[in-house]
Amino acid sequence: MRRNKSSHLELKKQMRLLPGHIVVGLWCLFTIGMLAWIAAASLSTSPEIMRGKTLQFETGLHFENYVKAWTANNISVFFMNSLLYASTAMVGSLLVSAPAAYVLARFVFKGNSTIRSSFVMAMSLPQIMIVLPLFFLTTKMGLTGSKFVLILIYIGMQVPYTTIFLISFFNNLSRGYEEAAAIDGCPPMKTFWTIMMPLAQPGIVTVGIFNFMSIWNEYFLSLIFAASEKNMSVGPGLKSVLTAMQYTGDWGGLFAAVVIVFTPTLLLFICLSKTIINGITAGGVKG
Amino acid sequence: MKKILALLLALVMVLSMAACGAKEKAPAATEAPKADAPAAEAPAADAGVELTYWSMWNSTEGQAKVIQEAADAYYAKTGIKINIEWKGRDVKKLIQPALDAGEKVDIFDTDYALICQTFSKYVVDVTDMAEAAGYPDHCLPVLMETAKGYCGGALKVIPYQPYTSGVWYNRDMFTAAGIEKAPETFAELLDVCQKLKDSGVNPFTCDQGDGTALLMGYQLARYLGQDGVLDLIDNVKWGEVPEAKKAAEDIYSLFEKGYMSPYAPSNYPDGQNELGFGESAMLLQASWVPNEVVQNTGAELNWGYFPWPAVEGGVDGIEGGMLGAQAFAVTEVSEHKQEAFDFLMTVVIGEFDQKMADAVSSAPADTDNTVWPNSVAGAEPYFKNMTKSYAWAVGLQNNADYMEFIQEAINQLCKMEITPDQFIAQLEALK
Amino acid sequence: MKQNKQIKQMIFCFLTPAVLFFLLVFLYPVVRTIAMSFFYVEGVSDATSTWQFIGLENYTTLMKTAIFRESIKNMLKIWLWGGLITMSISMLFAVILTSGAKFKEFYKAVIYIPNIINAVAISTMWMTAIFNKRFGFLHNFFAFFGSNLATTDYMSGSIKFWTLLVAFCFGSVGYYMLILMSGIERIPADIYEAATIDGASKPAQFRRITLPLLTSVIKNCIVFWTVGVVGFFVWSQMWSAPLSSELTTITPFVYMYNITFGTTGNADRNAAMGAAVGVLMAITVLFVFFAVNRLIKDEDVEF
Repeated sequence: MRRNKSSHLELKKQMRLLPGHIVVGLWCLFTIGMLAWIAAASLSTSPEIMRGKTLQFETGLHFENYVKAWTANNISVFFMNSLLYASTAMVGSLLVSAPAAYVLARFVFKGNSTIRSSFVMAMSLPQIMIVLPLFFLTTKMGLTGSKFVLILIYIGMQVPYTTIFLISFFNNLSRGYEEAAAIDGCPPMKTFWTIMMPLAQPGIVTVGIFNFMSIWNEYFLSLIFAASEKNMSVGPGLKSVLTAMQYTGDWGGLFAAVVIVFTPTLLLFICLSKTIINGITAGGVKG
Repeated sequence: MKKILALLLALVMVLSMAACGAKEKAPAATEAPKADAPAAEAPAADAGVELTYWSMWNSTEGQAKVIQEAADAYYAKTGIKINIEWKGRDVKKLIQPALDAGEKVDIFDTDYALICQTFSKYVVDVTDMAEAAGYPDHCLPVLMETAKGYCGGALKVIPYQPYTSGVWYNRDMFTAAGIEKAPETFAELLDVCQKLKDSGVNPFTCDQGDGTALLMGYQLARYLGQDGVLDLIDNVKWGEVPEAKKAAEDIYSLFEKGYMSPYAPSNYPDGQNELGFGESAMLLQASWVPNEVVQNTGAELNWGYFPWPAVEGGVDGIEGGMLGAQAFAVTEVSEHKQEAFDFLMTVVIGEFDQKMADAVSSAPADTDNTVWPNSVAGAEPYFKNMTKSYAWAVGLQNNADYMEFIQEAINQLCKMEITPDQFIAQLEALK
Repeated sequence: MKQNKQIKQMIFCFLTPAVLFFLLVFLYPVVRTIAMSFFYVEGVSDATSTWQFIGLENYTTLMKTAIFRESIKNMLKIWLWGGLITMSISMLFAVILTSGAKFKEFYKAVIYIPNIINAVAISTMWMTAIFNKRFGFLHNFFAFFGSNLATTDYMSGSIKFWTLLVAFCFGSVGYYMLILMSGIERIPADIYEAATIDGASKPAQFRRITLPLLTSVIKNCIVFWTVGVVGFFVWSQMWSAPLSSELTTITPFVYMYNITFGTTGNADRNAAMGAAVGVLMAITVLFVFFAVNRLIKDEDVEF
C-alpha cells in the first residue's frame, strides 16, 4: 500500500512538471533528430539530399561515403592530430596548473594575489589580443606549422583557466591532511603529489575533460598555427573538406566526414557523461 | 567511481604517450625537406634536390590529385622531389608572413591577379626561362597577356586552370521554348526569358553572394567597362554615374518581371542546382559551375553557353569577360629556381594540363590541348575571342573598405527589398 | 624551520612553470600587441625596426571604418540578444531539471551534446538539416502546414544574423545550464523547505532565494559569455561561406583576421590595425568584467 501511495505521489509530481518535461523533451528531440538526420544524410547521395529524399534511401545505403571521407578526405589525419593536440595539451596544462593552483590556494606569500588576479584577467583576455605576437614569434623562429608550437600554445592558453578552477578545489580540501602528513615527516612536495593530487582528482578530471573538449573544438589557433593539411585539427580540417566538397559536390561524403568528426567525442561523452556532468557539478561543491 | 576515474586518467596517459610518439615522428618528416636532402632520401636522385611547394588546394581536390601525379612523374624522371604542403585557400594569408620570416618555399600558387598585386616582390621574373622553354608557344595568348598585364609586363606567374564566366543554360529547354539563337543584347535576353517563362520553366536563377555579384558586376561592366566600374567603386560615384542606376534597374527588372526562380537569390548551391533539377533554364556563373551542378544533382544536361549580353549604349560587348586563372609562382628565395620552373612546365603543358582540364572541367591552358571538357565546351569560341578581361565579379568584391556593403545592397536589390533608387542611395551614402 | 624552507622551495618550483607560460603566452603578447597598435606595421612578421610610430591613428581610422563599426554592432547584438536568450533558457532548464524532474541525467546529457561537437560540424548541421530552404527541417515543418513560411530563406539578408544567433545559442545553452544547475544544487534544500512552509510560491522562491544566491554564478556566466562573444569567429566564417565575410555576420574578430592577413583581391594588409582591434576587444572584456563586479553585489558570499 505504502509503495503505491509513494509512486502515486511521484506520478502527481511529474504531472505537475509536465510542461517542463515537454519543453526540455522537445529540445532534446530536436537535438537527437538533427544528429539522426545527419547520420541518414551521410548514407545518402548528393542528388537525394538535394531533393529532400534523404530518408528514403532509394539507392540503398551508401557506406562507401565513410570510406571516402576517412581515406580520401584525410579525416583520419585531422582526427589523429586533434587527438594529439587535445590529449597532450590537456595533460600538460594539468601538470603545470595543478601544482600552481595548490600553492596559490594554500600558502600566503608575496605576489599570490597578483598572480591570481593576473590569471583571472588572462582568462578573460580575447585570443585576438595575443595571437599576433605569438604568430610573429613562431614565424621568426621558423616554427610555423610545427605541432609542438601549437601544443605549447594550447597549454599556455589553458593554464590560467585550469589554475583558477583548481584553486577553488584545493581551497575546499581540509588542511588536516597536510598537517597529518607534516607530523609524519612527509615533505610538502611529496604531500602534494601523493595526497593532495589524488584528493583533488574529481576537479582535475573535470577541468581536464573541459580542456580536452575546448582544444578539440578549437578553430582559430589551429587555423593560424597548423596551417598545413598534415598538421590540421578537425575544425579547420572539416572546413577544408567542406570547401572541397562544395566544389566536387559530394554532400554524402561531407556528412560522413561530419559524422566521423563528432562520433568519437559523442561516444566518449555517452560513456562518460555522468563523470563529466557530475564533475562540473562537483567543481562547485564546497567541502 | 574511483575506478572509472583511475581508468580515465590511465587512458589519458596512454593516449598522450601514443600522441607523443606520433609527434616525434611527425617533425622528422617535416624537417626532411628543409635539411639539405641526405642522399638516402631520394634513391633515384642524381641531384637530390628537393623543392617545397605550398599549395592552395586540399589534397582531396581534383586539382591536387593532378598536381600530385605530375610531381610523382617528375620525381621518377629527374629524381627531384617536390614536397607538397597542402595549405588550402588560406595559403594566400600565410605565404607572406612565412616568406618574410625566411621560410624555404620554392613554389606556391593562388589566384594570378593576387600574386601580381600582393606578392610581386617575393616572386621571380621567369620571362627568360619561359622563352628558353618555348612556353609562350603553348600558353593561351589571352591568358599570357592578362598575366603579364597584371604584373606590369613581366611574366612572374605561370597560369593554369583558366576559367571564365557567363550564362550556362539548358539547351533542351531553349529548344522546347522555340528559342534558336542565344541572346546577344540585354533586350534579347528579356525576350528569351519571356519565351522560357511562357513555356513553363523558370528562365533564370542565381545564388546570392558570388551569383548576385556577377549579375550586377557584368551589367555594370557592359555599361562602363572594367576601368569604369573600378572608378565607380573606389571613388564611390554611385550617385554621379547614371549607368550605375540603369544597371541596377536592369537587374531589378529580371526579378520584378518574374524571370527569376521564386527561390532566387538562393543560398549557394541551391540556386545552381535548380538547373540540375530541371527547374530553371539559365545561370550566370563561373565555368567550374556546370561540373558542380552535374555532381550535385546527378543530372545529365545538354549544356549551352553564351556570354553576358551587351547593353544599349554600353562600353563593352560580348568580347569582354572574366578571365580568371590560378597561377604558380617561383619564389625569390628559392635556391633551385630553374628546377622549380621546369617542374611547373610539366604541370601546365601537355598531358597534365589536359588532365587538369578534365578533372575539374576547366579550359586547358596549353593551346596544344584542344579538347575541352563537355560541360564547358560551349564557351570555347567565346573564350578564344575574348579581348577584354575583367577581374572576378568585375572588382565588386575587391574593395575591403566596403565590399560587404556592396554585396549586401546587391542581395537586397535582388530580393526586391529595396528599389534601384534605394540601392543607389544606400551606396552613395557610404561616401 | 626546515618545513618552512621546503615550503618556500615548493612554492617556487610549483609556480615557475605556470608563471613562465603566463609570461610567454599572455604578458609578452599583450604588451607587444598594445605597442604595435600605435605604429604602422604592414605584415605580422615585420621586424620592429620597420615600425612607424603613428600614435592613435589606427584607432581613429578604425572608428571611421564603416565595416568595423558594423562588426561592432553585430557583436553587441550577439552579446545582448544572444546573452538574454541563452541565459534565460539555461536558467529555465536548470530550474526545471533541479525541481525533481525524472530523466534528469538523460536530459542534461542530451542538452549538453552540442558543446562536445566541433563548431564546424555543428554549424554544417544547422545550415543543412534545419535552415536549408529546400530540404531543411523548417521548410518541411512549414510546408506540412501549408504555410508560405516554407519558402523563407533563412540563410540570407537580415534573417541570416538571427539564424546564426539561434544556432549559436542553442549550442551554448547546455554549458550555462550545467553551471547554473550546480549553483542551484548548492543551495541548501532546507531554505526552500522553510520557504514552502511559509507559503512562498515557486516563482517567489525563485526570485527571493534562487536568484540572489546565484549572483556570483551568474556573474561568472556573464564574463564567460562576453569572452565567448568577443572570440566569435568560426560561426561567422561558416555563416558567410563561401565568401570570407559578410555584412550581416561579420564580427571584430573576423575583421581583424581580414585586415591582418589580407583578403582575396585586396592587397592592403595592416597588422597594426588588427592589433588595435585586439586592444579594443580586450578593453571591452575588461570593462564588462569590472562593470559586472561593480554593479552586481555578491550575496552568496560563503555558506
